[in-house]
Amino acid sequence: MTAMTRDEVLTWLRGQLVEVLEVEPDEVDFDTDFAEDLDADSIDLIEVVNNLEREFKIVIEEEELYDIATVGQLVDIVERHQARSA
Amino acid sequence: MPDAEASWATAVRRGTAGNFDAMNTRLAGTTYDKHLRFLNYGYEAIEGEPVPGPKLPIAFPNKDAARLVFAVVGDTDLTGARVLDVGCGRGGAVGLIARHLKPSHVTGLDLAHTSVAFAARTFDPERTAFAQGTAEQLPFPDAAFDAVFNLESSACYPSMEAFYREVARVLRPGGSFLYADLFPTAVQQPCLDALAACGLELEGERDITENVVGSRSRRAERQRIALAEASGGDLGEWVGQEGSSLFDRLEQRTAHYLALRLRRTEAEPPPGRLFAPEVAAALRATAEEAVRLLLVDES
Repeated sequence: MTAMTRDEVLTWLRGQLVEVLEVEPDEVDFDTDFAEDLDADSIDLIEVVNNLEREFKIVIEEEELYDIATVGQLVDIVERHQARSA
Repeated sequence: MPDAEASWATAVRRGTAGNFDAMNTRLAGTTYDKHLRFLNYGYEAIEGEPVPGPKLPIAFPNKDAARLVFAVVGDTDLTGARVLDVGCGRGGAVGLIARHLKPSHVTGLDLAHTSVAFAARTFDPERTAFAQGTAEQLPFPDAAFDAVFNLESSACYPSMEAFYREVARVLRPGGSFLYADLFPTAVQQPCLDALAACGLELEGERDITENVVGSRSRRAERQRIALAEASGGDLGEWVGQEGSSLFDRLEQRTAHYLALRLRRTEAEPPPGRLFAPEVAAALRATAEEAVRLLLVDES
């Protein structure tokens, strides 16, 4: 699979968050804070991360999620994994 | 120990381990498996109380459960300490203490093989270790630990008094016993007396029933639905949702959730029984009931 650009990953994530959290697409950008802006909790995030792992065929360790707060930081993780497997 | 008592204890242990093995097996097929590390009822800070522990990230699962661990540790300094968690379950507290509280090493012990296996493959093997065993016969030498941690586990033990004696044995003099559980009101004082008799001197006692009820009121239903969707089974009693018998007991205050901090003195536990027969019977009934309540339908 060709690595997606950051914008493409964001677009995919936006679709996910609209579905899982029932938020509006324009509420989701790189600097959107999961908790503050989207009122997400860890159960929501587990669902999103699980779908993301399936979509991008990567395995994200719990430890990597430890410090994320924003959508952009989750995109960073996807990017790192794609670079590793490229 | 009389034969009847020993075989009853074996049956309770088998029931408890069986329940946790069934729970772990059920989780193993779900998307929550690798994220779910705690199996405690959690802690919610109420009315301007400080939130115990460091700020946890959004993606951290079961933050309430982690806060309960920090609340039980309280201001006890575990820097450089050798810590033992008895009844460590899936290892959440062991991992949390190792990561945040700078101990030299943390060991987790649990009755259920499947919990030990999960924890051993999940947490940093340089700073943590896990072993299978029983709380009433700890597989460790005398005075091997600076702190023993025990959270929401002791009520399941066939012999509370054997457990207290073992804690006293494996703690070095001056070491800390950080201990929290649901205590049925009738056994609360006898348990405190038995601890004192074992050379475990009470230094701090907090009734955190309201904090635990707060956590369950806010989180349990959401957790129950998520687990039910993922695993296809209802685990209401496990998550302590409103209407579960564990929740009701706390809400009606027929049991209290106590967080105790005790210090190991030089005193040696006396020979003989530590509990009056009616107290021992009440404790046995609680252990038996826990096995029944946490039965997981394996169909």
